[in-house]
Amino acid sequence: MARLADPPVSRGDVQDAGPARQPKAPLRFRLREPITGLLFVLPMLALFVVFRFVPAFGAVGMSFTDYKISGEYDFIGVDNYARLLDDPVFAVSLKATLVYAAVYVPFTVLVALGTALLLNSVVWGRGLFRGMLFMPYVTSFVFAGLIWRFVYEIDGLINGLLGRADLGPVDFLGDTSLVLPSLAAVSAWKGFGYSMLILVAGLKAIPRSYLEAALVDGANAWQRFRLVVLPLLRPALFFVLVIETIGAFQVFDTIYVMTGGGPVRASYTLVYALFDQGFRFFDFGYAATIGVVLFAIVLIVSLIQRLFLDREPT
Amino acid sequence: MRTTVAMALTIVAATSLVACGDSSDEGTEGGGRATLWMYPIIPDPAASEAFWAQVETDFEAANPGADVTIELQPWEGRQEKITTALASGEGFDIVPLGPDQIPQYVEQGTLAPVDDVVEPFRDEVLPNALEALSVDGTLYGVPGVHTATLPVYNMAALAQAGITEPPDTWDEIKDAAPSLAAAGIHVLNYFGNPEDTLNLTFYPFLWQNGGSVFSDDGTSVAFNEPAGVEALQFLLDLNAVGGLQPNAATDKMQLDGSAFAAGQAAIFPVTQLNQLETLGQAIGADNLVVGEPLEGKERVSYGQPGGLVLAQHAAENETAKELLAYLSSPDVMGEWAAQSGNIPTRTDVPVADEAGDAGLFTSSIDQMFWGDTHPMARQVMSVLAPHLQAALQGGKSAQQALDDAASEANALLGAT
Repeated sequence: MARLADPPVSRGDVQDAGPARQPKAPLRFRLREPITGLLFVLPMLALFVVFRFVPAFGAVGMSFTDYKISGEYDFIGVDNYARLLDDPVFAVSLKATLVYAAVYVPFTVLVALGTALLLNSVVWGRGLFRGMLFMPYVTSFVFAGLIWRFVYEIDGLINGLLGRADLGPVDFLGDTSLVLPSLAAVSAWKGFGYSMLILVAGLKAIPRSYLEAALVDGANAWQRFRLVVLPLLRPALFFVLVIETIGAFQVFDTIYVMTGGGPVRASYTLVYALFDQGFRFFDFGYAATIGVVLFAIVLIVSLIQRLFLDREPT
Repeated sequence: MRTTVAMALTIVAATSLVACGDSSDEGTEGGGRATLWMYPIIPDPAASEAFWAQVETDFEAANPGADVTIELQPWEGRQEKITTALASGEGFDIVPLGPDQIPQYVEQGTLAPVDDVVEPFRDEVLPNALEALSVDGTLYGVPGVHTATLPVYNMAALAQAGITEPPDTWDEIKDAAPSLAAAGIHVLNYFGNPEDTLNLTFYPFLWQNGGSVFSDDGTSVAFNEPAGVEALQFLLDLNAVGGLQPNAATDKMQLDGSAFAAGQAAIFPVTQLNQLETLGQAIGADNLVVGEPLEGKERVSYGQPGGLVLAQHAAENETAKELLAYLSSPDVMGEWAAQSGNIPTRTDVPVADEAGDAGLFTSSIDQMFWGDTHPMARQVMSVLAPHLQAALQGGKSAQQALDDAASEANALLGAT
């Protein structure tokens, strides 16, 4: 072990030193720590394999079959994938999912970032505000959906307010062009709390001295945010962006409770189509195929996000 | 380090034990055990809990050694839970299903016949209940209680438009719609949310006009034939003159929050007697009148005998079969019907309050149709609902909407 008083060594010194100066410990000693760590994570790993990996691989296998509830199936090759290409309902659900994600993700990330910045600047009662803002996240989707149905209804809260201003009524959940933004707003309200906490943690990790130095250099608030905070927050933002994107592609509960995929399939997302094919049409092979395609889409989108965002700040 | 490794191993072992601790075989098949999943057919939660707890106690007392579990389930997520349970062979031995749900599960080989259970009292069961719950001549559901959907009228709302007699034919409804709309009242409370069953919304109009969801041989759909198009056009015409509430295309079926309960609609489809109490509280019991099924070319409405089905994995479970017989015994069925506001499917069970609304519901049973018992009935419903929404929102004509739906549904049936 190096002592504090030891002079610093250069890379060349270490290379020159060679194995003779740092004798390797026996293998069993070197493996002891990793094995211990592995043993600690083993229960979680086992659960993860059993409940995540196995079903995921099972779903891939199932997508090549015509699996029935009774457990009988025949391998049908890529028929299910070929069917997807000609299925207009799949195309509709893919479009609805992409539109929903395009509205939901930026909206949620902006709200989460805004509230995180506000929380970070609050001096008094920060915990209270954080708890209040996080509360929707722990509310059940069904409960939230029922409340928001009331808010959006023709004779609901928003239309009541619009009516006082001689506006509306607006059929938020009945208009094919408004339903997805309306649902995205509900999901954002419900889900931004988690991302907000991640971003608050990211903001806390930014050394205060950087901001003070920028202030001394004459940077205004916007410049400090854009040139100091945002680059240093990039890892947290990347994480938030990825989990919110995955969440957007997997949206189901809000839609199930509030619109049933309507009106006219305007909110009929991929997971809703998967649910219908599996649990209503009993076409588990086709449902699994939609799941596999959804997985591929999420993977590709996440990789693209990583390509552009997951870089060290310069 | 040795201590750390030992501790890690202990945690792993303990976790494994915890994980395995509840894995003893508690299967319900055989061994005098049976599980029934019951739904809020008795809508009052406290009454439902008390009734089914009593059934469980009484059955076990009458059958020493039997161990039955009656689990009360919510309506929400019913289809997926039942499907998952049948797929895994776990969860329940008995569950109530409707006649249009049974064929799909029979086709999947997940339900067992129950002819032997019903045989001793077959003559006491309403013939149409036996027919509705059979698939290709084999009975798959022990008849439970029977629903009947009847229109209820808000007479105070009708009076505002000068109407004194409940309009109960299509012509009368068409005539009443404009004058009611002028008074700010919609003649019908219609629910177009795709999650609501079409058995309570579009299909009754289709049947009243002599139409059918499927062709006679069941190989294609028939709802886009003239009878179906006229039925949808009837609704669109009403909608055009303000005869349906503005959000009819997306409105979710509900009692408390409905336009009818708010005094804004004149006719509402009631499926259970005890719904009258809720609606009576909303608009005044004196204003509420129950009518016969609406009449187009025929006077017909939706009403079904609920079937208690036996899962295939419990086909040899004698306790489950004894429980099925017990549930359809006159005493249990009579009490079940009274508490749920439904009609007994046995002719030897007296009807409570025969002179009142209960009698009206019971006497209407011959005018009830239980829906199209096709293996793809529910799937076709899911396909049709969005196209009906499109028509109600003005995006498609009646013919176009039904043709589009038919094209999709026929592809589903493999009859393209």
